[in-house]
Amino acid sequence: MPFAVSNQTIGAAGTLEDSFVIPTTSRPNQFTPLNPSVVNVVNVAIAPPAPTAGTLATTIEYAQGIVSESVAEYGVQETPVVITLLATLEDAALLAEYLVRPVPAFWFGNIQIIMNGLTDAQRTLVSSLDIGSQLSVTKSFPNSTPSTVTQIMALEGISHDITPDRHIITLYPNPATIYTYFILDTDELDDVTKALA
Amino acid sequence: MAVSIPNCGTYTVEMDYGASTNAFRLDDAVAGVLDQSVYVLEGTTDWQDVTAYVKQVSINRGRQNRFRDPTGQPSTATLQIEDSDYRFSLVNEGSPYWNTAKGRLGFELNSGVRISRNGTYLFTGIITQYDQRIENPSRSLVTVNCSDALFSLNNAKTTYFTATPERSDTRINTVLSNAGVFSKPGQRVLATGLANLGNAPVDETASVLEYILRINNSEQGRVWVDGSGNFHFDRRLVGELQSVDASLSDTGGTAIPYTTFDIVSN
Repeated sequence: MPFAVSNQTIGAAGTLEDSFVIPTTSRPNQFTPLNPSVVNVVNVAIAPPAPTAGTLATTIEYAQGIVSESVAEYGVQETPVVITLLATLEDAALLAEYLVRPVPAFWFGNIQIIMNGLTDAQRTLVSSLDIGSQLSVTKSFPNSTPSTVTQIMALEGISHDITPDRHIITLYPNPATIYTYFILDTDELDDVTKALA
Repeated sequence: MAVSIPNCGTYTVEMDYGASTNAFRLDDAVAGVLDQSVYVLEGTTDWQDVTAYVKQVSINRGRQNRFRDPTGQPSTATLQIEDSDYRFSLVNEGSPYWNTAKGRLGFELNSGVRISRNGTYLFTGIITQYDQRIENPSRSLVTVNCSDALFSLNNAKTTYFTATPERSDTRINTVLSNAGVFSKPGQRVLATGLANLGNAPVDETASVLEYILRINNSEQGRVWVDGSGNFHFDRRLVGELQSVDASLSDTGGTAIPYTTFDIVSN
């Protein structure tokens, strides 16, 4: 969907929430709106200059990214104006473009693996996975088209439950914009998940 | 001693009894004296293998949903210990883990904990809470809650410095250096950031973790501590070309099989 960005300003800097005052334990992703399934208006501000004797009420500049088609379909799903440490409005626009999610997403998550049922090689591989690892997850579905779906995702979290007789690992992969290497004679052209090295 | 779980591997749970006994403490009349050889910086670790007494381990690292959960949350581990001979008791002066110098159990707040499988660490951190529960007449159950080193960054204030335009990873490196943490070789794994930061003043009232997360708010990458205790920072992924580390499937073959999963609709 087309993405448009414009530069905006709002009033006094002091009227916005300072991210420093939010306790770390309850700190959300500050760009998350109330309904995070769709984010079609993103507001990324850059830190305002310090007040001077002549300008006590400084203004805040921010880049606003909008996906109009998504707004038309789902209504306005807007983030708050979040003050970042970014240097320029161009940097803010790049971040806004990254944060928009014009349509709802789904992915394979909360994947439970029982270590007892794996081979030695598989156990070693699973143990080596860490946050940031790339996973390919394939699931077959009865009475469904397509019958098999594969997703390439990035691992965001891992949990282990270990007792004297078993070790259960739960992986929390999430969608990410990842390309994997195109393999000649194996992969097909026009696959948006493949790229040349 | 390490414990073997059938068809899983050999597991070890270790708790540090040593560092709390000889750690140098500033301004302390005994432990803070310079030019002596007993009390040293960070203390000398003395890892005690307590695996045989542990009946359950739970480890949580990272986040479940990047659209809803913040990154940079300290990883946690919980140990459930069946303390049949009261060696983990908070009141047993005859415990082999009793610290006679301090007059209390050697395992306490900030004592190190590490958990490994076949030599690969699944968690490295410190004790944040230690609870002993007695079920009458005399069954002792000990619960040890742990967090990784990100937790400690909550307790250190950001040192002021003059911010200059630079990438997010460079700024994080400066903040960590000023705090004197993750300073050993290999303890910082910082990916090259995409976010160009400006010269907004650094707020000294923020904790180190708060300021790092504010930097990451501009990057929207990831911040975490790995199972060995090393600090990681990843940039946001924008069309990255990466190889797949592991393949999971329910269709057989060499791919890793899984038992359950959810289709998450955000």
